[in-house]
Amino acid sequence: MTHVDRREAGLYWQSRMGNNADGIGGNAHRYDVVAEEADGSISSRHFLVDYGLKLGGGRGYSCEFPSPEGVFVRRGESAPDGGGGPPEALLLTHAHEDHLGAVRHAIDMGYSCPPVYATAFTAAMLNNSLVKAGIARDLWPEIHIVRGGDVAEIGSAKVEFVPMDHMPGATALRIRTKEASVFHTGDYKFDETLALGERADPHRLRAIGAEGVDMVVSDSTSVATNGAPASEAEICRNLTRIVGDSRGRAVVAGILGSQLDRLVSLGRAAHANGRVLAVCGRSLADNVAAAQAAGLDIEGAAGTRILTSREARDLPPETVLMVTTGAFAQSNAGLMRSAHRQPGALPIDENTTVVIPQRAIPSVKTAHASMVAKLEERGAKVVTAERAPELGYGPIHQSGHAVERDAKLLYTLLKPRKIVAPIHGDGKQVEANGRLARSLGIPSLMLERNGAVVHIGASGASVVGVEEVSRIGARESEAVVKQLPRAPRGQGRNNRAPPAVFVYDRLDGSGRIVQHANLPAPEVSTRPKAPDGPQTVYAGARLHVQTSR
Amino acid sequence: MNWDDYEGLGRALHEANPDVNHLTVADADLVRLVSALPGFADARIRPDATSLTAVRFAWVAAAEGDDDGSPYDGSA
Repeated sequence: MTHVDRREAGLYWQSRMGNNADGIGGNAHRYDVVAEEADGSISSRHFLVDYGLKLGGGRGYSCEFPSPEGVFVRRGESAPDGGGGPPEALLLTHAHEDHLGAVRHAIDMGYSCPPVYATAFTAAMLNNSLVKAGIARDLWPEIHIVRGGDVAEIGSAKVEFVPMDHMPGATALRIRTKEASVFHTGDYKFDETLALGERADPHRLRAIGAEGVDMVVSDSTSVATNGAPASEAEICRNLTRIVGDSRGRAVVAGILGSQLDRLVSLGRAAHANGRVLAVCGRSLADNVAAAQAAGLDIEGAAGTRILTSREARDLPPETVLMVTTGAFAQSNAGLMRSAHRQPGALPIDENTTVVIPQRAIPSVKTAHASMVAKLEERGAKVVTAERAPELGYGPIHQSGHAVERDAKLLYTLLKPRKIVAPIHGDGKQVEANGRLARSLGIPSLMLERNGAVVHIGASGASVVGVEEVSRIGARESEAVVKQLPRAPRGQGRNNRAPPAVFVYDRLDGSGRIVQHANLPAPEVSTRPKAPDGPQTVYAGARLHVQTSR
Repeated sequence: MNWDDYEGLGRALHEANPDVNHLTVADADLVRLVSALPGFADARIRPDATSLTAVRFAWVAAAEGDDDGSPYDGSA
């Protein structure tokens, strides 16, 4: 395994996954804080930012993620495979699966997870991920809740959590050492009309810029998109018109489970038209429950109660706005099940308006078109995000990521002195982000592959070497799953399937198999109870957090 | 059962309280409902936020089941 020396004082950044030629996902970053102490010795500590999944990928895996080998510590051991110190912490920028979904897999593979620092909603969704995987409670990481403005101290670095607009609880990280200052955006955009959580504050961002930012590590997903994006307030107005035009009909909306701000907009549309709001579908229910756990007043924001599907089932359909899952035509999501008239699915017929306020991404377009056709076969009127402007309603969807205008604003506020490093995008998206930075007179650091180690210090920012970073491919073990009792799907607890059991292949950085399904077997012991021996090796790693409260 | 047995508590909450809104139940009410479950041994122990949230999700799982299929990669 290659190893890049990190002994020069300063801050080192390494993207371990996320800059992938084969699509976005699996975001994970390593930061090393190297300082020269008063006695001339060198101290070195490191932490991770995000640890997410890349879903699918066409190789037969449920997901791929950055290998925990050499980074995390195996349970019962004190250092990562190959030596070096364990990470001090895992800082999560937000709750999407491509940023936190690999934590449960690392635990499943027999690794301990370092203490996690996250906002309340992100922490709740990590909690949800561990519950869904059936991970025994005593194997969970320590989870520390932070708010916007809180500062964690890791060695000589101070890391501030900076609220950004993307989803509830989303934050950027401002990482400062004596030698360097990095602003790691996480996923972001600017929309002051989002209702839930803390908003991005341009005044705070300007102040951070005034204090000095050397490098911005920056989300590229939608930077190639020009023009003014629709705000959530505009989307809400348009949804209100669609619901208003559906008087006397059932209205069913299909969204992604994590789109809670869109759920709020639908709640406002329902309320404005004298309907109640109900939700149906596990991931949507999980997100609503996470909001409740995080103290987000989602009902207050929506202006209406949120009913369960059980509470709504006896109400006249024309008095309800039912929100379910399936905007990406996932095989067992609510809209898809209705389209195929599966048992227990929401009934959809000629008296139903279906609204899908989410554009289909390229990888789901075929399935999406097929689902819409099926819904129309049932007689439903279907208003998709693609059709809404043609129908005169205007936009009912907007990407959760910064478009060109947003990125330009961010760079103008932060005024990075040295460089912008585009991440979280395919080749074209990353290139567009770099081009935008250069158009503003800011050099860009275009990383061609994951694993590059970038040193940021007094002399600037530069790649000092490249380390091989492997991936893990996870697939469900059919042999194990078949041995487990699987209750028939239906109502209530009887439709719970046992948590999936995975086997893991080691892949190289481009996704080719290096070691086939003979990594440590999935520990069935992670599920019912903990194995013997020490479980936590991070007893001394608790960070000091200066709260902003 | 104790606070760490989140799956068992979730199932028991669903069976005992089918008409309670499991999506928006307040923390204090959740603690009260768990403490009232027969066979619950930790009624005198105040749960930490992580344990309480785990029980909340286990209740959602028991009530909603797995029919959903919405693992979202976040890149939309």
